[in-house]
Amino acid sequence: MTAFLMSLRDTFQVGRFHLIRAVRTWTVVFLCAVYMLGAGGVAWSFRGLIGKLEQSAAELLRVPVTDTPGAMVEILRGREELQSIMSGLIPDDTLLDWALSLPVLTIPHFWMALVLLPFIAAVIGAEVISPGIRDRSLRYELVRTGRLELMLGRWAGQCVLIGLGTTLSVLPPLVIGEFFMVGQPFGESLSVLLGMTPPLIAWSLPFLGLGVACSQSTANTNFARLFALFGTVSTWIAFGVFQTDWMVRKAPWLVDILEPLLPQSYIESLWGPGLVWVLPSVILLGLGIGFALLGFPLFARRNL
Amino acid sequence: MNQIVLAALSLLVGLVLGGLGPRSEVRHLQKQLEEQPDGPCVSTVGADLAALMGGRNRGQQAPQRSPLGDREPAELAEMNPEAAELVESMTDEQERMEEGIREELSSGIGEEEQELARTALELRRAQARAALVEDARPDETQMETIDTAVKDMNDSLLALADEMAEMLDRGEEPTRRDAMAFAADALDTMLVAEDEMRSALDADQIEQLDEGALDPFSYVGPEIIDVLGGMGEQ
Repeated sequence: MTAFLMSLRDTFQVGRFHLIRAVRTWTVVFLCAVYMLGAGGVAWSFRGLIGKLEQSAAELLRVPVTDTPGAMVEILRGREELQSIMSGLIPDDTLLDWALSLPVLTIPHFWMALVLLPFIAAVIGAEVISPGIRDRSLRYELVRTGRLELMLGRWAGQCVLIGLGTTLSVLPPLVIGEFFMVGQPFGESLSVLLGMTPPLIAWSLPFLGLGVACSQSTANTNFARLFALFGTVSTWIAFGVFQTDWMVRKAPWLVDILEPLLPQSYIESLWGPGLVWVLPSVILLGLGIGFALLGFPLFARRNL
Repeated sequence: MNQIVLAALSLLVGLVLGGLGPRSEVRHLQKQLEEQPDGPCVSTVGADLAALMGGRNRGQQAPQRSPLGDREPAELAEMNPEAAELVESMTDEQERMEEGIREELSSGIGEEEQELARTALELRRAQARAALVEDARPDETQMETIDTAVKDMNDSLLALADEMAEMLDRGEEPTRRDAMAFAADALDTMLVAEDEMRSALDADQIEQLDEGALDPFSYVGPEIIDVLGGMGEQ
């Protein structure tokens, strides 16, 4: 028990030092800027799309066109017409009602984050270990702790940084909704966006783990980034292939074994009212640790 | 940390192994479903159903020959009560649908069209108000005056529409003069509303505005659709 607690303490300390280093080297600022720019870009693009749709609708209804969008879309949010159109895309009535109750900018924020976050998390994860292998600075840290604690501590520290970036990424859609659109409910948007943050953080963890695994396998950070991106793309391709009838017919056992290990298998479960995201998030956390351990056998034997 | 690593790995192994059974069961059932033959059904329910329904359609001739033997509807109903019951419920359903269609046609504007019209008016009002706010940037007092003018206009229009509906309720046909008076009152109400909106803004603000942003027709509320829809049913 004491050994377990000591190991846990070491992991916590490594994670803490990883955070302090990120603050000292301004990495945290860069990271948060990347997250906020991504979220801002998505929200701004969607604002433009809403603007175009509203302009067309205004011309059709013979009312003045506005430069600032949002008035019409807020009216449509509660109408039956939109519900009947969307029911084709979301057959589940409860899910449909919930989705239509969300402020308009929160929906693209969530779904675009599901697409973008894996790549950002994988690239960030690739920089966790390999620079230390390259400049051999890891040796000094490993005098005081084990390799597993070092790797998991840095993974955990990076998780906190990703959590911070994901949380701060709610600001751009809020600012755009409040100052560059009309009729957007600030308080409701804030609570919905904050509610979406934990599942998004959980969604990043397996890809962060993939990046950390790549980072352990090479001293070249660029290679590690490349491997991590390749790995992330591969999971999407594999997920697509496993969805095909052909694959299910030809190698059902392979689909049965590998599909549950793909984070994408849980993507839809993260989207829903209440706490439906909790169970898939626990699985994604497990996948995150599991993926990070993929590179550990190599790292454990590496001559530092 | 070994324990945490073991816990995570156990979770993943459990996920894979625990899911193997249910997943293969689902696949097996799907396969069974796909393998169901497309050939003729050995049950006589379908044939009896067709024969019973054919017997009820007096305008059409019943099938001349059945591979299962020609039988009278009463005989079929006795032999296959499930099919008879099904036909009964289908006939009731069809009668209800026909009645619904007849009602829909006689009521003039359907519920769906009314809902669309409500949405269109709601969208027009929201967009016109947004354009007014964007171009004229009225302060709180000005906005309050404009909102009051719009509310008064909609109240007056509703009162006029109600008056017309009551007249129709009493079975009175509005004369040409009545119709002209209603139209004049409605236009007057709108002109008053526009004047009030204009008076709330200064000359510079009005100059900045798109003409449509002060058009009182853009501010007509969706509530009037309910009254007008009711008139269509008279």
